[in-house]
Amino acid sequence: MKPFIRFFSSFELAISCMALGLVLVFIGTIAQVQLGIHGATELYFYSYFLYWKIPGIGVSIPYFPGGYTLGFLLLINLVTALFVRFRYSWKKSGVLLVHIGVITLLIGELISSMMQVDSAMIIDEGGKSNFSEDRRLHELAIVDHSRSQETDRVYAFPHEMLENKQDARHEELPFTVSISRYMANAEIRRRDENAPSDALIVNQGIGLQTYAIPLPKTGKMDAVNRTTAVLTVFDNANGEVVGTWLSSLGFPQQKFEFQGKEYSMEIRRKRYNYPFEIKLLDFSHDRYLGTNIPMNFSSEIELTHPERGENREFLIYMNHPLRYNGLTFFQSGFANEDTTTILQVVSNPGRHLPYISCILIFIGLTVQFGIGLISFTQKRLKKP
Amino acid sequence: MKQKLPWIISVSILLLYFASNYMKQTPRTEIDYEAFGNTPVHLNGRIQPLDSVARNALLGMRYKRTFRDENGKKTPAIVWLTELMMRPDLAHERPIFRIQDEDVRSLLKLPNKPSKRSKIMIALIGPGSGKFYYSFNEIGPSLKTISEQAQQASELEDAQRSRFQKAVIQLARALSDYTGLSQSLHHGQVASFTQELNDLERFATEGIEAVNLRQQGAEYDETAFNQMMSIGFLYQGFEQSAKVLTMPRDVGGEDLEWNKTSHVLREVLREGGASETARSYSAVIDSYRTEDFKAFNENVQKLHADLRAVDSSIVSKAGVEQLFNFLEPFYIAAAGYVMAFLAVIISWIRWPEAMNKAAFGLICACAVIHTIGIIFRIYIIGYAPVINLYSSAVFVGWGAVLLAIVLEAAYKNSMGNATAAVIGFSTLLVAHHLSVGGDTLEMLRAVLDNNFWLATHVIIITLGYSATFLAGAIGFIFILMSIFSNRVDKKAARTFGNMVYGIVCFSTLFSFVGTILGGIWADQSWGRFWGWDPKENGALLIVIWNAIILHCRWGGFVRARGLMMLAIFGNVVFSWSWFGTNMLGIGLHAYGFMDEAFTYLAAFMLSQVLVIGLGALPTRFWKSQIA
Repeated sequence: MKPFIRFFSSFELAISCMALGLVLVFIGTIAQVQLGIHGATELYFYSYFLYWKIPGIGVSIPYFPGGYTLGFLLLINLVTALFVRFRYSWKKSGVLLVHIGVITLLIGELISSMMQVDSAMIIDEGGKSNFSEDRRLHELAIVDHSRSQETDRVYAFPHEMLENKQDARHEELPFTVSISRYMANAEIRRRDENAPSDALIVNQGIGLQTYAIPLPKTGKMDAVNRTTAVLTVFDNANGEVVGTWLSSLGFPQQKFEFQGKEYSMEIRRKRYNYPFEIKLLDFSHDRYLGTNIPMNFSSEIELTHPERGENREFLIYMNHPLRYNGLTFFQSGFANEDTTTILQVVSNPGRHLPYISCILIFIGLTVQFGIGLISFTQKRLKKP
Repeated sequence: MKQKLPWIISVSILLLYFASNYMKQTPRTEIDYEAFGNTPVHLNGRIQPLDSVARNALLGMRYKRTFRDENGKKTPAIVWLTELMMRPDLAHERPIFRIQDEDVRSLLKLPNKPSKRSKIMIALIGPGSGKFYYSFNEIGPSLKTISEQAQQASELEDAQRSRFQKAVIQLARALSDYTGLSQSLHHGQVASFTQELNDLERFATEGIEAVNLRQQGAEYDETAFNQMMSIGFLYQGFEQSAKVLTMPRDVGGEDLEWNKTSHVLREVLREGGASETARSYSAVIDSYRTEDFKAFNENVQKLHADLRAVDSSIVSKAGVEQLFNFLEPFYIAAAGYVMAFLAVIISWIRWPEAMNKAAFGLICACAVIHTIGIIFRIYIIGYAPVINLYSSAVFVGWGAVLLAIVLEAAYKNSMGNATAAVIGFSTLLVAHHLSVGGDTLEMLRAVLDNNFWLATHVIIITLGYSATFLAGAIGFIFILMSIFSNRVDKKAARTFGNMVYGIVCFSTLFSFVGTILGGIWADQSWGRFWGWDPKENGALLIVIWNAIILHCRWGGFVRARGLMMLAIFGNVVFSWSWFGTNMLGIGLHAYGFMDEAFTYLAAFMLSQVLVIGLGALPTRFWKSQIA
């Protein structure tokens, strides 16, 4: 056990982890040029290993530790060092604080990487919204339009189910939707003689005029992956095929009738619904005089939470977000000639940890280097 | 006294140079260019003196803040701008467009110009850039070709453009600025602006009546209507081509309303007459055109009085910026750092104590001048000192110089002087090259427009970078000095080691806290603490590297020499984070574009790695015995 502990608490491990981290961050940053920031982050920083696919054989071998591996090793190293190596004294109190600060920072980033949810709420002036849409994840929404006049019933199936081609079924639905084909990103083209034969299985809806060609997934900041699937609907009673549809992000709802009821299917951005509503009263976008440089964006909103009987107005602008219900609403963009606002909605349970660690590290480093500086000057003063 | 003599002499030389540089900022002519250059206008989102407009415009076209007149004499930019704004026909003859790209020159069928230097000078220092300068009239015939090519090139993303396409876009931009400036004060269609205003005022009632009658479908005076229409077209064109906002007016709000000169038409038609400002401008232009320079100077004074009447502070605020332009504090400081470096070198050869004192005096004087420059910028723009890549270069140098002064005061071993001189000069040189893009006093985009975070995160992290750079510079000089001279002994090596260790501690504190503060700013303004954006990663690299250095020392893995080598590698990491990340062209922080700089960056990194390699040589090859 002892050599283990000695290894895990060693300076050598700390330095190696940091050196490997240095290389990882560097190559990960370079890779962002090709993969986009999000793509490279997933591959290099939010992963256990970097894999190299041997050409020809198709076998992947890990060749470099990923962000999680290094992060966990560093975390173990820090914690064991705190118990084993540290001599607790006032003289070392600064170092202790710094290391606790770094542990907090690592845990905070771990929580964010796993639990932070980013979505966008898009509202037109005068309009309102009670949901936000995920920037990257999509879902398959099957809507039952026959329930009542005002409201539809939505059955949403998550992105992973599309990816894994799991059948979408629900006890309230009399049919099953099976994912015949899934494309993480695709280009939609008008159907003509060039269409591949497998596109011809689609016999309903928009897919009669169009077909999809798979594209590689992109991780670039502004680019969107156009999730696309070929959906086959089966009758639950007899297993017969009702029809096959092509569905892609950005397509309108495709309606169909089944047993006298009206349904529709759609691949859309994953939605997060809220028990409150936000109304955009006014959006303003000021530019510096005589230039196109934005000086300020702001959204004047009205927030209504009927269950809590809350109703208030708020001005969201740059560096001044609305925090409500564990969510933070930031001014992130605009559209339609400055009449539509785009609010970024973030929930991150780890968001307070960096604040704590900043304070700890600041105090720790100041104390530690301060002690060093004082003893150094005292030594120099004694020596003429 | 003898010890102090070099100190007094060298600092006096620097101050004299400072004064003489200030003196030659305006030419001694009958025309009061200084007063006219002080005139406040609105451009790039802020009020600035015409002097700044002239300097920045020329910088964008000629890559210099001055030009050469017909006799080859170096002349301040304002002389050129005055001419361009009032007598563009003369200005069009001046060769002020620098076209260095060969393909662009052959596209425009521009002849290669013979160098003006003598054969001996060409052999010694090359033909110079004189042969790349062309006048507007020379380029004139190809304006259409340029705009077509630029249009094509601008459809590509910046990264995909060829060198030729970038050069064409740059030229098109310079030409558009040029014509915009030439049309900013007057459209130039009639000789006398004052006469034009008089005619306009006299004709206004008649013209408006004709237009109104026609609109009502009644009988109208057709000549008057047509004349009104052509005036309208003329002023529409004038409005569109002008670049500078010249006419402020107080509309009761917090800020003044600024309009282009063409606004005068609306004043005449809607308010019954031209404003005082417009009247004064017309008088200034007319007196320049008739070469009545005495009247010109008086009219400029009258113009300033009118502007002061609108807002008492704008003229004096523009005057402050003009003073900053005249003082050129960063240029003087750069020159002073070179002097200081020479003094350090001399101190290593002879008169160590006296010359080192002189170097220290120079460094302190430079630091004061450097600080004055930064204070001017803060006052002019109203933001904390670091707002773009240019100002970060100025600030990194400033921070490092101050730290080096502290080191020198503590150790008095000339290392602080040497590093201060090297870093002060090189960062200001980098800043100078970054400034060629144009106005470096730019307004901040909404997301950055926050003085609290600019003053905390940006300042702290930039000071951290200063310290990283300083530690690297000490390492660099230490290795070279110990290998090629016998000046370093065991004790000195330990002292230098302590210096670097102290600086690395400082750097760790500032870069670490600064980086986390940046994350907190990001969390505050767009909802994520850390987004793995290239610039954030760059900052993280510096923090990790500093932490590695400290752990290597605490773990006893390195001593003085190893510490120095690690510190020099810090320069590689630092330069990558500072510039390399901006060259990737992605992410939220990609604010400074730069391509040519890549070669310099690579060369700098290589030089650092080479010295680290030298440091790895066994000590028996070293001239100094450090262990």
